[in-house]
Amino acid sequence: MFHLMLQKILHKKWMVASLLIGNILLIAIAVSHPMYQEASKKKMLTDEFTNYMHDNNAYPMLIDIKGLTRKFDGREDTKRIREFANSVASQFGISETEKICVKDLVSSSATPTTLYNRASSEIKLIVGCISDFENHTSIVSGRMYSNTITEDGYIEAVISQSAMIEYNLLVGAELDFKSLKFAEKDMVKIRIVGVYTNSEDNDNYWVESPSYYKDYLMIDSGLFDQGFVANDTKKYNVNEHWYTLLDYTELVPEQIDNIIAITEKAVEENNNVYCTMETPAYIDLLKDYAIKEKQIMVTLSILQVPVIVLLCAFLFMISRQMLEMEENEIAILKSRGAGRLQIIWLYFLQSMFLSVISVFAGLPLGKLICKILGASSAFLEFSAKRSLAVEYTGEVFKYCIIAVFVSMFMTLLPVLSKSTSSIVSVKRRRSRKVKPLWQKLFLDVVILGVAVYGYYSFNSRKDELLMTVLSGESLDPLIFLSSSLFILGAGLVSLRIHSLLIFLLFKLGKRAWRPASYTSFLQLIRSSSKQAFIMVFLVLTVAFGMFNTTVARTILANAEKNSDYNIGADVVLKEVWKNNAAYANTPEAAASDAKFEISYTEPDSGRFNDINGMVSMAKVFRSETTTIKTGKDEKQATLLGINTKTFGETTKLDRSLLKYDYREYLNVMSKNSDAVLVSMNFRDKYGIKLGDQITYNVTDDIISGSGTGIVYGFFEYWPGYQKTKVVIGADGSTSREEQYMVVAHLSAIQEKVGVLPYELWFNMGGNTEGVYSFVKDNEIQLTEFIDATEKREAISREALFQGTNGILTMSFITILLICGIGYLIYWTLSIRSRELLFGIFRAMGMGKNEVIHMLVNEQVFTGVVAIVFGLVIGWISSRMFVPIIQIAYSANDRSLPLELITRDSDMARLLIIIGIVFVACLAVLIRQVYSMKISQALKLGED
Amino acid sequence: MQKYIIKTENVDRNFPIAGREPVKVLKQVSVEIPERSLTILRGPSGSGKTTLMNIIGALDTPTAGKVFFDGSEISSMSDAAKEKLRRKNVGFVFQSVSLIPIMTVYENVEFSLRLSNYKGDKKQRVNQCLKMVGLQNRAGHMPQELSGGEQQRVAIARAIAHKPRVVFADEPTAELDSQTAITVVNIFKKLVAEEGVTIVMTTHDTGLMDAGDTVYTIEDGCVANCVVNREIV
Repeated sequence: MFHLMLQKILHKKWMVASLLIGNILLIAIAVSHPMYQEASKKKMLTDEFTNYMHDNNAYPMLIDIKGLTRKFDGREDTKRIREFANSVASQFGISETEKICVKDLVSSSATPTTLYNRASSEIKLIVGCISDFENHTSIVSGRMYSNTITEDGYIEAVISQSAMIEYNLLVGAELDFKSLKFAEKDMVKIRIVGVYTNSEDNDNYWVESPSYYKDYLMIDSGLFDQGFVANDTKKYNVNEHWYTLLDYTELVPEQIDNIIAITEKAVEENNNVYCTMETPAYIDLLKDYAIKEKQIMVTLSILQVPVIVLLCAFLFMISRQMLEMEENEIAILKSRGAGRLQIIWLYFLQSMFLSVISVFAGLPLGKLICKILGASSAFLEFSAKRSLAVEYTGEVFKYCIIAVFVSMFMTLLPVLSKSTSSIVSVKRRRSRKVKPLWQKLFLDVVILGVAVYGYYSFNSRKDELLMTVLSGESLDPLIFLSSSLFILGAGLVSLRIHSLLIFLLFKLGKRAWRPASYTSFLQLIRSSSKQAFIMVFLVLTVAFGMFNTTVARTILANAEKNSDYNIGADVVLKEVWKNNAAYANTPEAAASDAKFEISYTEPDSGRFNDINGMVSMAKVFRSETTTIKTGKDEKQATLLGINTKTFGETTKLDRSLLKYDYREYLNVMSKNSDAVLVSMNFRDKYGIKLGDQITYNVTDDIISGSGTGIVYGFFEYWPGYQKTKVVIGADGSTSREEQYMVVAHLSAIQEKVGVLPYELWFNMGGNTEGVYSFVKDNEIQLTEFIDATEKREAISREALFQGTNGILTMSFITILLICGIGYLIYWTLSIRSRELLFGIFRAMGMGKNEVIHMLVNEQVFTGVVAIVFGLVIGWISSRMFVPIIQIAYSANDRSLPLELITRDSDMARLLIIIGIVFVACLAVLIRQVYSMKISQALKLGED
Repeated sequence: MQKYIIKTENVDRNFPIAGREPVKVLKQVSVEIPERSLTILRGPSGSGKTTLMNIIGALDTPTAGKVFFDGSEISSMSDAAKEKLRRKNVGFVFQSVSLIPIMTVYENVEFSLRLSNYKGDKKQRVNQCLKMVGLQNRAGHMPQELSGGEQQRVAIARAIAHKPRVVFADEPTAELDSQTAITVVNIFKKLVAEEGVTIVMTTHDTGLMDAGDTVYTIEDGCVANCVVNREIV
């Protein structure tokens, strides 16, 4: 039997090769799913932590345990705190990157014996130590402390730069702590021998930065223990602070629940007398992640469904084609006494054989696919820089086995029906023209109906869906399903339309058609079920291709556009502004004659003009808590203070968003220094008219004031203006809140209210590098920094976007591949099976060119028409479903109307590849027709 | 005087076989086919009768020798000229089913009219031909719905529909029972008489010998014998 199977395989090597390709692809895609999920989950988790670190400038995977060792049993407490700190961390199963212990004497008054311009003679300083201090600091001046008491009885200490500034302490200063005794003996005397700073910029060791320790005199840890903690010295309360930094890159999603549970238990149980554990930042991160993970994984899973369905259909099609070719052999085997089970067994063996090969090829291919997925930066775009750590897990093999079963099922499915064939039934079946079951049952119309119903039901509750997504749920999988069903249903319905169209065309010119066209139309009408499958396949390929590119391009482009719009310019930053508020409360200020005015010192923004590559810069004052008064009404809104000229030069706004170019609004506004522009929702709410007067009331931390403006215009969109904002309530419920904005002249606000800290908006021509280096080189301190380019990149790196792009790209390529193979096979087989017929045509006097004309005609009316149908269905389905699907992707910062984006280049790629397949088919066809010997073709028919 | 529509002069046909001597299927064959008659080429399987018929039917080209169709040499004609000849002046009936499966009986017959660009009333001609073979009632059927004999009769109707001068029938009775075979031969005779067409058929059935006006016996690629049963003047 095995021998027979091998012979069979060799005989049909091209068909078997296609079957193998389909099999390998199915397995590869199936196994890539868990691999990718696993790898991207891991990456997502790590990203989550890295982003937190980036945004908050704090290490997230930190266990922070603080305890107070009381008098009299210091050492015992110390041990307990240390053990507790160790026990929590060790339960996680993640390695520690750093364990830092800070100890200090609760507070101590010191009398400096060397004074430098100090009014007060006594200062509060803390004697403390940090473990492994020496390895994480560099000395700015002086030297590091020694670990012994000096001969003259001093303990050496180092101080931070901020301590130096704050207390005016310098190297060499000596301090007496009258209330402290070292090892209960001598009074503590400390000499400052050096000033330290952190040795590296981004050292996680410095959970609290050196400036946090401005009140600390750091001494050697050993010396500290010896003097204040050791068994015989129990006199002092010692604060002990254990920071355990765990390596979050080792975190795997499976550990999350465990870590949350352990941590919450530790926080709850140990908030007792001797130590407390802060609720760590990672708890929220992990909880957020868990929600996000579910949401993303559901989305990514659903995205893969269409390609898997198509692959199954492909396998079915190839298997059926192959069986049709072998129908005679089966019938002969049966007539020689082979039972039905033996036939099935033969095909089962073949299927097993192919599956084994496919597993070996599919597993590594799956891994490769995963890597490609991980490297995708946009639709059909990859970045070599991005990579994923991919592993084979148990889950991978589970998926592999399922894929093998599915592929075997799909290939064996046609065998089950064909295995009953006998010579008689084969002939009989060939003579009958059967309508496919789905056409008889109108399944296509039913499917389409369900999908359209799904569309209307989802479309009518778009806002509700948005809120569901915002509350952390994944988008209803049925939406994706509806879109796939729509494409499938419409594809099948298009076959009916196709048949009708061909029939009408045929009837229309029945008399006039030349023999070649006449025959091809008849062929299309009379053997429609044969080309039905390949047509559906083509329609689905093109439609899914178009749908996929539209989804991928649209979600990313819209997210990026929204991000750009919400930021308003290429770079937005805000410097640290100094003010004189602190001075206001001093006796000196009170004593001065002149009325003291609180004000900010405006930094010199002119120096930013030196930024390399800067196109323009605008000063923009933004206050989100401005109260706007219009007659009796009062409402909180965002006040934007701008200079119309620089604002127009620095910002961008899509022309299509407003009735006129927004610069026209700026021009109108520039005519009057009191002119203001008001957002439309504000106008609608309060019935404001042009020329009305409004009052804005600005309240800053230290300054408040008000001004009036005359309404000169209304806008719906404005750079940096979000019309609505999603508000998440305490109970997790979400709602949308209208946001209002008033745009006024910066000069007017400054004149009426005062000079308040403003932002600087930059037009960098798209390249923001220059700002970074400028800020770094000039050591400019910022309170706010937003880089639009960086934000856009961050979006494309997000697991959801990257996964979506990756999967859609992969689906697209797979679809192209199987469509190409499928079409080529269909054609070659179709031609081969009709060789006798061509012989007859030729014998009857039909020329070679006429035969080719006939075949090209057929190809045009199946292939080209299918592509047109595919394009139309793809276009319609995109218009219908993409606006709903993208809800899952741009939930909370959506400001702009959705714009569907289909890149012509994507469609061109698709069509070019289909075109190549067509040309290849045509080449095969022409070769076959030209090399055909009529007499031989006719002989062939006799066999 | 007897008029010959087809003549061959010393026709050879060799089939090259890779790595071996070519097989000589026809050797120095010279035949003359009288017009408006039924000529039978008989001989055992493999004797070369089908090859000869393919050559005189302009489906195949001889390795050597000349073939004349109505006085003009066809062995050196271009493909296009041969196609035209086949379209206008020749009809074929093959051993096994040679109907176009996607066309009904009517359409099959009509198709040869389309191909030859028949100027007359097509519908009438199709019906006339179907009537001649006794299948006027099966016009709307698909070929698969007919028996072997009926299919062969449709093939005959199609072969004569466009009023060719010669109809070639390659073993048209081989797959039929003897009763049906006789029916087919009788149709041929009727066609010769009524339509004035020349029919050349091959057969290995010795029972049909008498039916032919002229009978060539082909053996081992050579004309072994020629019997003229009836001379057409």
